[in-house]
Amino acid sequence: MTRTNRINENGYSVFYRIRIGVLKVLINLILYFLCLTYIFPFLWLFYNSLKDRKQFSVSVFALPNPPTLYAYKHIFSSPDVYRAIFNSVYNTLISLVLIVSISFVLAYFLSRYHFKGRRLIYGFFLVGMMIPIHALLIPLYIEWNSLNMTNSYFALLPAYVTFALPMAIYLYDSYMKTVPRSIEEAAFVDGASVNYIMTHIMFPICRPITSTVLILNFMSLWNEFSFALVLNSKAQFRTIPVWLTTFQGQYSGNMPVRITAMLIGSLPIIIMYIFFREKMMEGMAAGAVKG
Amino acid sequence: MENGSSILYQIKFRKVLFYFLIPILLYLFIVILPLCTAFYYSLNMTTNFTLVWNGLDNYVKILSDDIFWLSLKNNIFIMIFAIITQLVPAFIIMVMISTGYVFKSKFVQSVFFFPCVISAIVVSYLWQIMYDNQTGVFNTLLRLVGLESLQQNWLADPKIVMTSICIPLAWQFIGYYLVILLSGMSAIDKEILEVAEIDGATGLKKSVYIILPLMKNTISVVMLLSVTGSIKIFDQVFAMTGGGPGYASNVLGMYSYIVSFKQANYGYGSAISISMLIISLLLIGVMSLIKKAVSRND
Repeated sequence: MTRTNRINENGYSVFYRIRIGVLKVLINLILYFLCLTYIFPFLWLFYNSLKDRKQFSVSVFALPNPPTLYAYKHIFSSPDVYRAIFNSVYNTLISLVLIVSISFVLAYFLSRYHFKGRRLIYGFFLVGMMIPIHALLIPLYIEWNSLNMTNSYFALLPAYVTFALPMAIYLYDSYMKTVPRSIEEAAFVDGASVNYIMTHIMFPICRPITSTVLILNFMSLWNEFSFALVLNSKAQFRTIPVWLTTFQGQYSGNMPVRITAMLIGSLPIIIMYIFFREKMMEGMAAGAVKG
Repeated sequence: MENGSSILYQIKFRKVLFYFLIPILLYLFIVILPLCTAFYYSLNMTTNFTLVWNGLDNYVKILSDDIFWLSLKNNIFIMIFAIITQLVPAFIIMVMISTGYVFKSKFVQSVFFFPCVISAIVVSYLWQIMYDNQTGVFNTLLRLVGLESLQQNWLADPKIVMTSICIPLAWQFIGYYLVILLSGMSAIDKEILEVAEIDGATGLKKSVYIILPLMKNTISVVMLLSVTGSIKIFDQVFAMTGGGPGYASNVLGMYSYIVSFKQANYGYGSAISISMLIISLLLIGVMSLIKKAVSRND
């Protein structure tokens, strides 16, 4: 009879099955080999952090024998590491709070309310999204410098919040569009104020997207380098990525210390990845498609 | 209910303005004002922090500045290299994973994606350490297998330094594009793929004639991301070579940084930043025109 029927009766032909089998093995071999090239460098970093200088210079591939905490002790004996961690945590946390509160409120009004100037404001932020922020690096430095605001606890926050807003507003806005309005309307009929509806009804409903916004921005803020380098270059205000650059000249002969510093700086992200990797991948994809 | 909703969602602009005040001020101070000051600086040569009206001199200087054009050339090199070594492999891996033959494909995905969440500085330093002449992974490995002649000065040889910079970029970002492509792929109707398979379209044919056209939108997003990413690149070059040797691996972002901070020439640095902005906007414009042209063919 027809072709489809024949396949159903005989199952797939032997030749076809062998071909699929070979294909399966081949694809898995290729992908798992590639995976090794991703896993090995990080493993190599980790076990080399447990060596001292001599062990590292003898062989870069050998396992540490015996493993030593020399590099970790070396790093934690200097106050720099604590300062860098504090600065990174400070900038990241404050920015996250500001990003979520500002973008949530903005997105709520933009997605729910009709008022004059709504389109104008929406367009304003869309245009802001188009501007490549890296072209702002030197201009922002010049402005901040003339206002005497570089090298301060305030220098990075406004930039971090502003650059994160378009994406966060976009994510909140598209999520809120899927939320039915009946709950808010019921609350309004019961006499709830706009502020109450926003903070006590809408915000809890938006919890899933809030966590996406938090995770994505945590990642980009913790890793942010160029603005931190330019605006806060003094030792007192260095964030972790900027702190890592200080190892390049000073300890270029001392690889284990450099490697350990890199691992310590990435640890929060690695821990986060272990728990939230699905969410991180989803969020990055969702955020990218806005482009 | 009808009535309630109309009152609930009507609001005076004056009242909303209060909520919008902070973000609008932020935008003014972080985006608009710096651009204006940068433009002003670019028209005024700064020597010893004094401003002298200079007209378009800085922009004229850019036109004949070899280092500027070399940097732009390197940006374009990264852009082309990124499409070949990031987007194409990401697409192939995406096709492989979407066959459903891959054992623990979620695990594979998360391995590929992992470097994207690590800071560019850490990834770049990791590769810098692996590229090291004496203690680096690559040269040591070549020595171990007796291929001493293939050892390279990976980051110090002007001939290969750009390729050496692009490989870590590919390594870091394949996973990013893979995840975006996979999420685009999951939106395609599975039935179309099944029908295509019954009709005998497999492997290469299926991916070129069926998947590629269906994923036009996702692919244009990915292209746009990779083009804008290549223009703004800074962290990786800063960490791995600092633009060196000489200016061999310099890029626009790095150049405006060097001019502004190492040479303390804010006027010229601003002019480079503004040029960078214009080039990126032009590229985004061209990309969206191409996108429009492609989707009109439907």
